[in-house]
Amino acid sequence: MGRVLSAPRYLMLAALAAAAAFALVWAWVAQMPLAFLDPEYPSWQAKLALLARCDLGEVLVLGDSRAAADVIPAALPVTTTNLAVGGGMPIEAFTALSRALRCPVPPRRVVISLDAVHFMQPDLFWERTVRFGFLNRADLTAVRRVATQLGDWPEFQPRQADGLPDRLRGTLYALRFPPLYFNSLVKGGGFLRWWGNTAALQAGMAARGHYFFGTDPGSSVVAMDAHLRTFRPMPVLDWYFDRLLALLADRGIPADFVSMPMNHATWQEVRPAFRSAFEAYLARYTRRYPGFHVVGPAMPYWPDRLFGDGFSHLNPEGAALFSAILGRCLSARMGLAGVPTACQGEAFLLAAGQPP
Amino acid sequence: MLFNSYLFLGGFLPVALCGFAVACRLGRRAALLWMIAVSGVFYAWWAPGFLPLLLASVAGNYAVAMAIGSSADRPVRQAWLLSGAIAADIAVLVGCKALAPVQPPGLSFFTFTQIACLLDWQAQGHPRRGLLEYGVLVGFFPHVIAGPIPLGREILPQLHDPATLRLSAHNLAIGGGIFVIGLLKKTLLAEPLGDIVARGFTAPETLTLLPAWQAALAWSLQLYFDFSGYSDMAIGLGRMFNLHYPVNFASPYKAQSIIDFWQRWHMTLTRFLMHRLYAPLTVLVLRWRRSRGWKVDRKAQQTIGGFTAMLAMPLLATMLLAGIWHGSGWTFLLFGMLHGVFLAINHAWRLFRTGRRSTAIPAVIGRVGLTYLCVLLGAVLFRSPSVAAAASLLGGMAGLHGVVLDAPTAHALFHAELAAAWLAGLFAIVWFAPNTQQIIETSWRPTLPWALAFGCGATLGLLSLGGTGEFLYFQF
Repeated sequence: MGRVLSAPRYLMLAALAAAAAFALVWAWVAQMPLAFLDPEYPSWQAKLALLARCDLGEVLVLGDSRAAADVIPAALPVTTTNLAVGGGMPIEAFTALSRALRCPVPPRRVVISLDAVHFMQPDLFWERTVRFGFLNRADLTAVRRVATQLGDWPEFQPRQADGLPDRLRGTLYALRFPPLYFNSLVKGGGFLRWWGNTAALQAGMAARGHYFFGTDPGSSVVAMDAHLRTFRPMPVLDWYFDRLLALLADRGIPADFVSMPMNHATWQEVRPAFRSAFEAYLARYTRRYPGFHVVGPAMPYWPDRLFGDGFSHLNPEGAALFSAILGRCLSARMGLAGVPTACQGEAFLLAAGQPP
Repeated sequence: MLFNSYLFLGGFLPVALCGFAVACRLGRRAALLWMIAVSGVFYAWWAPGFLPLLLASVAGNYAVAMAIGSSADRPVRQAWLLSGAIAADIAVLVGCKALAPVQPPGLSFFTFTQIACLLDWQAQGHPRRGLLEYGVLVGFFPHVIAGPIPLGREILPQLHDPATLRLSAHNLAIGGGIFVIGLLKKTLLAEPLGDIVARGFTAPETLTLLPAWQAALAWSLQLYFDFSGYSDMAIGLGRMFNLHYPVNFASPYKAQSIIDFWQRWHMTLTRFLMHRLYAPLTVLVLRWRRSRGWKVDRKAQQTIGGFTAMLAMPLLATMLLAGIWHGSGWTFLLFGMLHGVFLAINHAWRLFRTGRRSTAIPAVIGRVGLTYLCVLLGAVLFRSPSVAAAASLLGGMAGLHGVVLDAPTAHALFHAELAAAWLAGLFAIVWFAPNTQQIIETSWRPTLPWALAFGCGATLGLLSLGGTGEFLYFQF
């Protein structure tokens, strides 16, 4: 099978083949991420695209996956863009806001929604935020610097050891170093996600950043919130939350903190002391920044039938209901219409009127 | 530092090879010193605190070996020295296993290598090798963490050969090929099974018939590809430095009996156990029987008492110790006992059977299948956190938890079919594909197609480094 080569020549050809194959894969990974990255990627890309073209409207929604799924911009009374992302923490919210404020027209109001857990630990920082390019290298360097100063950087190690030198990891993500994307390449069949992802990107743009997670007709699964013992914010996340609110205060943009509901099964298991500590934490910021308000309860619950998965993301019916309630509240707060009580705690407690 | 890590592949290995090439030009001593130095760095990267233990073990055993060599005319002194050294080695091994919260990496492997070496030198005469060569034999980085367990007579003559201590493009090509095959086994074949295995063994009581089988089968394949992949990488690395290590896996799931299985699975450990544990125990039994005037021939073995004393008991004792060596739980004890019983039954079958072994294909398939099922039973015990968990998983495999699939959504079914296809592909590899040494020895030639294949394979291996995990066998 083929002419026998000298060993040095054989080694050279093998090395060339390896280099050429690697270069081809790298080019594909760098240029065609929509073809293979997981189905959440296009939703993030939709948000980045809306940010890039400053097509943001009057209200911005910043936060985590519950906010991304539960707040439907089309159901709100003013043009709204949902920039909340899966696993979002104050870091992603601050990054998105910073970019939005570079646009010619700043938002009139910002809705912030982060679960308590997203003040306590990095969630999908490398797997989503960095991998999907939501943070650029400068953002990442800043996160690293602050986290290092506050002693939190070790917490940012990836969940699965990748063996990469710590300082190099961010650069390699920025360069789309192919081994970091190999799992998606395999699971995505190299190119098989192209059509689905392209459609999801268009849908995400059309929905102004909104996307669903689970869409089951109900879930009684106890979510992560129930397993947290004490609320202890991570210094670096607290620092970014403070920066986020300071930035909004500097620009005179009012901000409402709206907690998304969790299912009743989860709520029952949440420790009252944990809930109180989270409320107290938010209350401290309302005292520090007059333009910052906590709207509704800090950890509300809704009936299980309105949730679509085990992470307490609302299903389409739940999200429509929640967005309608939020819309009435925003109307009142922005002086558009509605009654002043639309933003009071009871207004967000759907379960108060309906048995769980 | 894992073999399948960026640091190893992009930093350590190129530096080690380049340094070796330079050191070889400076002379034999420089080359050996370099091999020891890089091995020290490699080991210290794993566990710097245990490097002194490795160095002390090597120096201590070498000193005893020298003393044994200089006491050729004083057998009693030799015996005391040998017994003392082996007792000290075993005391350290047992002490660390029993007491240390963190195990020194590779302790069993470098201890076994040295015990085998001492026994060989005592029996066959000291081969007059220097400390540097001995250090490479025991602590060279490809094998120091998880084997293979080489014998002195396999490695030391190679180190004495001037041809070994120079970089060879031919051996680089072969070693690189073996390494790439091992890397792909580990990262592409073994690691994707990790999720199924972890989920299955975490909650075995929830598994119905098919998921229970899926977890057990996936585990047997993960263990094989992970460990044999590691061994291939070690052997390939040795070859890059011109060292020929003994083969450690030879298609064990193609075995047609349990005896055959152990001659194909972790072969260097089996060799150590058979030569250094089973054989001495058998000799003791034979001497004891002879001292009482009892027969020890084949006919005596075919009696119940003779078989039990001369075959079954030494086998059971050896396998029990092998089981305990893997860990201190009841599952490991039962694993060892189970394999001891299987081996005893296999020997009994050989002794008492009449007629020749059929070579018809159905008979071969039956033997391979039966052997695999026995191995699978042991593997479930080996992986389970407790005997109750193992029993639960085996109960699931027997259908005691029900036989229906869980609520079959389209998504779940798709994944179930994909997982089944994946397992089927892996079984096709273990049962029908040639193993690494067969590929290299019979098919591989330094030709363009092979250069392209191994070049692209290397890229695939490098790409799959994104999510590295630890080798399953490091804990032992």
